Amino acid sequence: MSETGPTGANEPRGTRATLSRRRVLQLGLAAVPAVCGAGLLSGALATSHDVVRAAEPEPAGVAYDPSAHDWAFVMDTTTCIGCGRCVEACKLENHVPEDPKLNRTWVELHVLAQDWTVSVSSPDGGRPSPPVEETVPAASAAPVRSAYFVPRTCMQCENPPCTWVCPVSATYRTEDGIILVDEKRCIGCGYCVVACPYGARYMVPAGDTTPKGVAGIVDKCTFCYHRITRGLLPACAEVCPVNARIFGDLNDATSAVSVAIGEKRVRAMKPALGTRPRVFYTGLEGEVD
Amino acid sequence: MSRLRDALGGDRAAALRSAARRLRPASRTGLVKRMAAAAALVAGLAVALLVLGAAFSAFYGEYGFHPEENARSWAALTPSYADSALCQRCHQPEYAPWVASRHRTVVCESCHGPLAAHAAETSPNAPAGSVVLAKVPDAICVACHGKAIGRPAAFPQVDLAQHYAGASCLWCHNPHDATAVRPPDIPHPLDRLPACVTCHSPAGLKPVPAGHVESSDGVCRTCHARPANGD
Repeated sequence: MSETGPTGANEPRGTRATLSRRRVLQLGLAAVPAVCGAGLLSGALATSHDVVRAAEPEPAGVAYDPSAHDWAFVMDTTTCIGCGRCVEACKLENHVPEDPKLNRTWVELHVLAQDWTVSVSSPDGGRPSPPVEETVPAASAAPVRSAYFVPRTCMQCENPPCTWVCPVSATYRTEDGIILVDEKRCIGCGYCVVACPYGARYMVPAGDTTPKGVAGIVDKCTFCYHRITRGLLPACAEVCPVNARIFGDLNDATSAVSVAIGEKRVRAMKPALGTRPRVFYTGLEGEVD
Repeated sequence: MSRLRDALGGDRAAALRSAARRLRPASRTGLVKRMAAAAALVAGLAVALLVLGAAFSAFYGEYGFHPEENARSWAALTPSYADSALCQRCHQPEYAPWVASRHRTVVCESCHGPLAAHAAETSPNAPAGSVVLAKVPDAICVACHGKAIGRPAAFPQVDLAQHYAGASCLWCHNPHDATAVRPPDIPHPLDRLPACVTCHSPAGLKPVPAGHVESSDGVCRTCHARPANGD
């Protein structure tokens, strides 16, 4: 047993263990300041980024608190006259493509014929005045039991299929319940367009852009987020001549939409899908569920 | 020592001494070298992580850290449609009858278009006389009041083929106070009379009110009829 040599069969293992432990300690000691430094640096970058943002002119609703609101619509099919002023206003307010098939909001004519067949039509999204001869369904030979106009838009679902399918998490639900598209993340794959059971989304066509000037991605109704966060009505509700589009805050019991839900019998469209829409309808029969 | 060796057993004490010797630096130079090596390792790792952190932050920062930031950019867009109260500031003569009329639920911009376009066109740099939809076409009236399937029965609708076909809505209807002036019936028989304009031209025996244009009998009869029991 030499004092300088190996003292036993387990000595080499012991040496290795000692060295490895030391290395681990060294690594750990090195990691602490490095991680702190990286964190500080990224924090500093983030701060400078926020400063740049804050330097931009803030909207009037700078004190807007998303958590305080829960926006919703009641679409009153018993008063809608199908004039299409809403579709026109939406196109002008939100830089929606001129293509009559691409709309953030549109108006449908639902016709229930005497033989109980249902026809749903929306020529040019309902933007022009419905020409009398064209609004009569193909089966016009049969007398009509009921016919009414249905304003359509994004349902701003509480349980939205579009956000589930987005592969890059570009579309998301805000605290105040609006489904938005992050134009920097959207890759334009179109999964959300086909996932939406209400047909509320469209791909921005070639040569056109979203309201933020981005081409090749998806656009959809935002409930006019730039208006409602300033205390204005969505453009479609603003111009509706018969107050068929009742908009407001569900968190406010005195808002028009809360009162309407209390006074009228309302229902969602396609409730069995479990999407829990924030757009409610009066007088809607179950023909499109 | 011998007591310790006895207590621990000879082999174990020797092993402890050996380990203690290895842990102790062989010399001062060795200690400095080891500390320098450790410091270099720490510094290297710190720099590497800082560079990675900065690169990640720069990349991710472009996308924003939270959806909230993107939502704020949606909220920052500029509205085009405003409020009828803003229109009132300049257009009181139209606003006053409108706000008291049946048409008060139809805001200015519903027929006249967005205020932002109006403001842009009437700005000092815009060409003169280019006010947006100052005169609203009949198609806007018809958009609401044309008879169509699907409209609530109680909503006022006209069958365009039956209602003064060929006339303009604004000839008789004032959309701001939602009133209409019914064109007077023809008070005299029409048998054996020459063309309407013989007497009713602006320079004639019984001139028509201002705003009428000289035209053929067919145009006159678009609006002016004999009483139902007349003729």
